[in-house]
Amino acid sequence: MWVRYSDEGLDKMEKSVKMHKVAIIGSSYSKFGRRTDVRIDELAWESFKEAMTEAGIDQRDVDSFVVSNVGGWSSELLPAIVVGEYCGLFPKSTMRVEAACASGSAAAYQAYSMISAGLADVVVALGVEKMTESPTHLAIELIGRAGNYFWEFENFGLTFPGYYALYASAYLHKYHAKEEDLARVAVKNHHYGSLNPKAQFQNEVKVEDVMSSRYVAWPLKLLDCSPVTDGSACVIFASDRFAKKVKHDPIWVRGIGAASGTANLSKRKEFTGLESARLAANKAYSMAGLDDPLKETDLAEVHDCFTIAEIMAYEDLGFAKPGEGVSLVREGATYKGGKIAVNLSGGLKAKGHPIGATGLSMISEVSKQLAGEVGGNRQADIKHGYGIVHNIGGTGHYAYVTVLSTERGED
Amino acid sequence: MNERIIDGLPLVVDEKTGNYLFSSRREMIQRYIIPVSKIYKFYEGLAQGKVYATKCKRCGNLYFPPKADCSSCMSSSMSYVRLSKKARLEAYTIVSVKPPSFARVDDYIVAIGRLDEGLNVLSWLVGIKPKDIRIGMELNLNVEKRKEDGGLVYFFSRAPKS
Repeated sequence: MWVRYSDEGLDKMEKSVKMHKVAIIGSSYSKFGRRTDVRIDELAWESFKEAMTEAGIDQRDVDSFVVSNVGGWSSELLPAIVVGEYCGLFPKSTMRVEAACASGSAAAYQAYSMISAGLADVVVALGVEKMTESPTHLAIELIGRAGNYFWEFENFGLTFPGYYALYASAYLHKYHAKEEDLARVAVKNHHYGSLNPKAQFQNEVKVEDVMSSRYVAWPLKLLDCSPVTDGSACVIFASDRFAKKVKHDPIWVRGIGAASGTANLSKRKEFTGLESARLAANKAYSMAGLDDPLKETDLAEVHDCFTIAEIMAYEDLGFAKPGEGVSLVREGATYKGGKIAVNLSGGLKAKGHPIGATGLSMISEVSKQLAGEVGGNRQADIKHGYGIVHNIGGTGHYAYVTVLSTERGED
Repeated sequence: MNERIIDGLPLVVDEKTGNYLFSSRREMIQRYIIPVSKIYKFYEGLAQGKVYATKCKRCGNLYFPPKADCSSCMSSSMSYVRLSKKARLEAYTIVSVKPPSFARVDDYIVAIGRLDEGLNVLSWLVGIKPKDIRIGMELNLNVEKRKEDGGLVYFFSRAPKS
């Protein structure tokens, strides 16, 4: 039973201002993995072309484009204009957005805001990441620095797994959970990854495989961690009046919420959940009119950058009370057909985590799931017509929650 | 990935896939030079073996890491307050896959300790075997010289039994 957090999380929605409804008219994500076959702009093109073809529009219909990319390991420091040129989107307005691993959702947030305010009818949100232009050890160095460089990296050499491992140590201790519980998240996500031809990893794993993989940052092991990945994703957002010209039944964006966390992890109040995620979920659910996500939604894509992150997501999103996220894993309740299907794409763990593209690939996945277009053994049963995207940047430094639906909702 | 294919071009073949890669020759080395005048007293404290937090003279808010500006009441009038030594372990990890800039260091334990003042400090936990660590255990915060390079830092260690 999800309890509404508090009024401090709620946006003041000014009903007197007419806001345009926002739909998704096309989306796609590229094959994720080690993409030594494409440069960053060629990779962006893959999902851009598929999304535009699905939408049935061309660049003339586009008012603006937003590119999500974190970079640092890749050579193009101005990815928005490089990608924009390759995709023929110039001279439309653009920017690069960054919210660490939630950059894709930040691009969606920007696109949504422009359309809802009446500044644009069609906005292309395009996420791309080319992590393998640099060797893996450099990716480790760069991501480790992405928290508070001055107080946490310079003297203490944090790594991205290290950050989440701090949370894992506190969660396992407080709730008497075990590393095997974490492993079950990887098992589930690899199962669905093996059914997703675009996923980086196509192999299933067993609990024993995860438990015998080497430690990266205790208690997290190699198979608790999402990989280094190249990939792109494109979601095309449109206003109601434009969408009705090209799509009979688009998927609608019904709620969108965001929040931030302190840069220094030492300033967090507790280490068993992400407050920013709870605040973002609160805003998104309120906007969408959701009271109990378990009863009113069909599926979720959540940010399993590490196995512990998925368990905390269950709690932060209100699928389980604090400390009971681990029960959902033990019961297998987040497989297809369970209490709520989570990460039927393979999640970040098996599908991969091309940082700037991930959020948009989650939005694309949920929109296709809701439309029944995924098919096969990883198609969720759609009864309510609502889906949740939970996309976290860093260690809860940024949190974005998006609610999609087959229903347009009232004006 | 070593084969030179076309004379005059830095093209190599990726072993795993056979894809062609352009191996750029343009390199850069980067080290940051970061201003610390506004919190210089913190570094003087380290030299004296003290770990300083800043405290707002107007509203009393305590900050660690030390800040020169109070984001709570907007004052920039801060005093430096020595942190107590005692802390309880809240969370920890053992970093074994390390970034290259820490590659010459042994595996290290990153810990978050909650000090008696009610604020947390993130630092290394040194001088203890992983099997002896328990969340909730008592720690001491001390200034020490890092063994790898003599750098002055604050570290946690196990509190001596009283």
